[in-house]
Amino acid sequence: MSNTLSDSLATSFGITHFYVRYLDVDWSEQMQIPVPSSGLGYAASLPSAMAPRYTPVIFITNRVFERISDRWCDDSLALKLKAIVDEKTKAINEAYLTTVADKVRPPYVAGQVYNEDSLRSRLRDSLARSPEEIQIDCDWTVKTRDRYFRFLRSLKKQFPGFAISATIRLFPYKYPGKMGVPPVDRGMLMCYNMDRVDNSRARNSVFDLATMKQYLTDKQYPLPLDAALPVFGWYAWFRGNTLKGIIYPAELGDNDLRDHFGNSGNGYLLHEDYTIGNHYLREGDVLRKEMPEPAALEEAAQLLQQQVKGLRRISFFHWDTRLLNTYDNTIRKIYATF
Amino acid sequence: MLRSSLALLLICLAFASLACGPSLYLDEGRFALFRPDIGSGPSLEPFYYSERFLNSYSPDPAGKDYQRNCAEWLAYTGGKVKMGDIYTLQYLVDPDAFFYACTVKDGGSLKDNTFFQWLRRHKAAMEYMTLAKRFEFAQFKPADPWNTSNEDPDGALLIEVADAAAARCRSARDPFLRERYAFQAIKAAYYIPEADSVKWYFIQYLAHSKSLLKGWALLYYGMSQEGTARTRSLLQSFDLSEEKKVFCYNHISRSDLDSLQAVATDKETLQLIRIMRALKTPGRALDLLREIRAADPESPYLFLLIGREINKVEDWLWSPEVLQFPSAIQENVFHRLFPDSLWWDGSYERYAIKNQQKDKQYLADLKDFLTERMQPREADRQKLLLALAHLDNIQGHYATALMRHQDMPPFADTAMEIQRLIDKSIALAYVGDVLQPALRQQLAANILRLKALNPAMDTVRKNEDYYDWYASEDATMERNDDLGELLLLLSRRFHQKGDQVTAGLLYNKANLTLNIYDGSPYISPEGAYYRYIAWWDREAAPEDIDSVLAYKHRLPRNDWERLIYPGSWAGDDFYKDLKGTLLMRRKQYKEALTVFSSMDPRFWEGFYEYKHYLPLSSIAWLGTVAPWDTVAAPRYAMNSKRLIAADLVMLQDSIARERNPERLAAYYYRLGNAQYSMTYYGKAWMMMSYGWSSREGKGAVGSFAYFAFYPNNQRYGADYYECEEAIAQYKRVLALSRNREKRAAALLMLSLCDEQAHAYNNSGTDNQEHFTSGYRSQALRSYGRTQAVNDAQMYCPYFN
Repeated sequence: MSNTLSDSLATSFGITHFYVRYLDVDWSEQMQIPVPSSGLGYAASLPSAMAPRYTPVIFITNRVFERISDRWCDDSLALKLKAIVDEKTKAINEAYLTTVADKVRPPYVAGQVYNEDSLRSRLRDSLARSPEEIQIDCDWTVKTRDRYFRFLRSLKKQFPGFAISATIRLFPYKYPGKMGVPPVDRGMLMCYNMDRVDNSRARNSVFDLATMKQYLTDKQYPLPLDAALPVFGWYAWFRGNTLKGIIYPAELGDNDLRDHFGNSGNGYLLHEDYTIGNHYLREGDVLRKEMPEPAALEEAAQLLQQQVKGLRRISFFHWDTRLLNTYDNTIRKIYATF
Repeated sequence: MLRSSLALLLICLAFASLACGPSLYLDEGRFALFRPDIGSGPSLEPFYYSERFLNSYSPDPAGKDYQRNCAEWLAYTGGKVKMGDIYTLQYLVDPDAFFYACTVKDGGSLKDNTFFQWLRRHKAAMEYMTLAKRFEFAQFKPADPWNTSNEDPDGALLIEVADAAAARCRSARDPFLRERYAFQAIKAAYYIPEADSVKWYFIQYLAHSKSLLKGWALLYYGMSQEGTARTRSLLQSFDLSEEKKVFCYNHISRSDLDSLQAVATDKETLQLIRIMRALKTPGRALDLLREIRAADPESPYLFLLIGREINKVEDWLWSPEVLQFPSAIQENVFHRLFPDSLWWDGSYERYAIKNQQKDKQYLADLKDFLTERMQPREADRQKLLLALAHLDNIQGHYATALMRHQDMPPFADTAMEIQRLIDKSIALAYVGDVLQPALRQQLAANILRLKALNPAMDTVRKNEDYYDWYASEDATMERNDDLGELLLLLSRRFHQKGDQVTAGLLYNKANLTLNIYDGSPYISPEGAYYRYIAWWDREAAPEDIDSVLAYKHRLPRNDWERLIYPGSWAGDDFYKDLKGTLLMRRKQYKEALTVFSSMDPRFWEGFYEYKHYLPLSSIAWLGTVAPWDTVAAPRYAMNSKRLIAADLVMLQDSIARERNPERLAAYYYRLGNAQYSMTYYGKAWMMMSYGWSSREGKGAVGSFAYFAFYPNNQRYGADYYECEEAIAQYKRVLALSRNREKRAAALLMLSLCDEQAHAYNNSGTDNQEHFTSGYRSQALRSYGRTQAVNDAQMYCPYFN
């Protein structure tokens, strides 16, 4: 694990728990089964600070539960995920082990015999309990609710010693009667992606405090909860009222906004035809900045603390060292609140 | 809560999870009628202009490299084997089958393969082929999506093969095999990876080779290097090989090109930099094309790049105009109506117009560029003429396009011939009179020829009920929809010339996705398919529907009629229902009733969505909307537009006969109610429209995904959204009646209509504060003690 910048950031923030995306699962029309679509590529690229305490996260598209057969829903999918989770966990732990072993191994002394196996064995024992929780991320609907919940029950059987958690969007949080409550040990309230990004009239589809307030209630949700706030953003690219795409901050050159755009409300109006990455933007196009405002995030954290009873963790989505620097003070302030 | 329990999520962003709902496949919203394969051929297919940016990931779609490799082997064997057998063994026989054949005395399934038998007689060559097949086996294992070990090739086997290749390379005496062993060693070392070995074997054995392998090896050699050396090697690999082009393209960034350009001095490298830059340019690249042509007028990439620029111009000018996808000027109807409604500059329209002007100028510049090149070889001259004629058509200079086509002979080359037929058809239709049978017959002949040249075009058209065929992994379908795009242009021409039957039939035949609501792509079992009638619903007059039905029942008499005759029709009553509905919108109730009466009386009970949205209680009674009307509403015997129209006609007749002002006022009140019921807010909106959505509004424009009543909202919006006709009836009540209850009821309905019209007129704007109609104030002030106002206050949530 060589990501020293990430390691130092994690240490600096005092972060002790990470949620790590293991894989995405989508539906294959060709094969008529759920298949892994993308996920953690190379375990060793994880910052070493993440390995000791983390929760694997598996994102499953809602489409999977629209199409999944009973057999896959009640049995096969959980079995396949179990195999992959075990394998990826082993890879992460082994990579971490190597890093730690490199740090604690005594310096080489000529003629002295050193037992590497013993060292690794001791370290492996110390990692045996990690992770303790598996999180499933799915934007389920009323239509897919039953199948999704059946899958969660079958997953629990595959991970008897683990807590199973599920992400809860704001809508199912407010309407548990209609949307159901997932049969899991705890939930992660996702306080972002609050509007359709293609809605040209939305102010910020990623995070809008006013929208969040509409969903928070005093009623206690039937599951113990953690909550996640966004520390990410992008520029929604509009031509007239039509969304043309998403431009990520990393795609923009340092002076692109200054040199080619003018301010226009919450967005940037392009003054001339201009290419950003593989996108050909035309004069008059607008980039709507969709970064959460730090003050709004702080207020959101306070609201969550006041209104979501028994909140265990506040989490930030997602890990991007560039954006973490942008939200440095905000994250620290929110940590202080908790 | 302790600090130690804080968490940070590490999850990559997934754009797909943000935008649910209907979406287009890439290139589905792009209008492209210029064949990019003219001139460049299929081997450069991945680099055709596409919304996918890289058109496909197919390495070497024309199989040129494989053919070259086979040719090298053929020469090596002294021409003693069949070329096809080399290809089969190299590229079609999987390693297991090959190894099995080696163990069988007669060669098993390869016993008739002349190349395999030759290899058996030539031990050194057979040893090489065996190693190559082992490598292939190590690289590709059976695909199991759940087998994560697929992520890595078999490392141990690769190392073994790499070692063997390296050893044999060093010991081989035969230069042909030595180069091949060197290539295998380089490739294996890249995967293991052992970068130093890559460099050594490349420089030693392949740097000066004439073999195809040099281009392939340059990729691995380049990837083992850093900085500009890497970029240079990848550019050379891109140029020398076909199969590695996509990989090289993907591994060269714009900043890599900048860095190399700063140090490169040789003209070959500088030219490759220009070519790669042009391929990576989604916007205007004409300046680069000028430089490329100046450096090498015969550049093999030039026609590809010209095709890309033509496809771009089509996309920028034709897609908005014909398919109505942005940046359509029409997009900004909303902005025009509500200039202050959005948080950014409210008038996008001026940018759309400005961009359109720039694009037209760019088209003219492109034509100039092509004209400057009109002196080359005859074959190229014809291609340029095709390109120019196509640009003429985009410009609307149809006569010029036709003139260019006058002396153009049919081409043997399929892509060129397809292009000729497409552009000639467009020019003919727009220069000549499409209403003349002779011209139609000429168009039919061209279209039949197009279908014969590319049967895939016809497959797409036959499958009219399901148009989900863009979901292919590359833009092949974009080219296969050329016939659809041509038919769409012809449909526009027939519409322009007033032949709405043909225009609608051509539109349906084109079967493309436009940014306008055509209904679900899935056909219902009983054929209740809005797409059958959607075009006529938007564009036809009632009498046109009679012509459609006449056409339906007349067997096609010639090629043209056979071409446009639909594969399937809806039942007659669906078209009649449309005619009646068009008449209802025009308030020709009696004529509508006549049409509805000619239909199966039970039609509306089991077809389309009528049963769910046509009311069973009289539309002249508003139920809970008007609680002061205490008399129970009469009920219709079934869901039926005929019964509703009859109700209206009866009211109109009663009004015509009645002379008593109070009774007349009562009839007008009922007529107002009936007309209110047929508005967007009423229970019988389906008398006017075939869909309803919350996205409808004054400025709503067409949308492929959501029903918008467009463009009928602009024709009938006053009645449908602003209740204009209903309001007129309620005002007549006020003018006629002295009865306080009647006057109060009329005022209450006027206030409801007024407030809904206000909300409608301000939908989508920031001006959405509560609006209280003056009629409501008048009702409260002057008729506060009436039963009607009391009931409104008691039962109407909107009233309070």
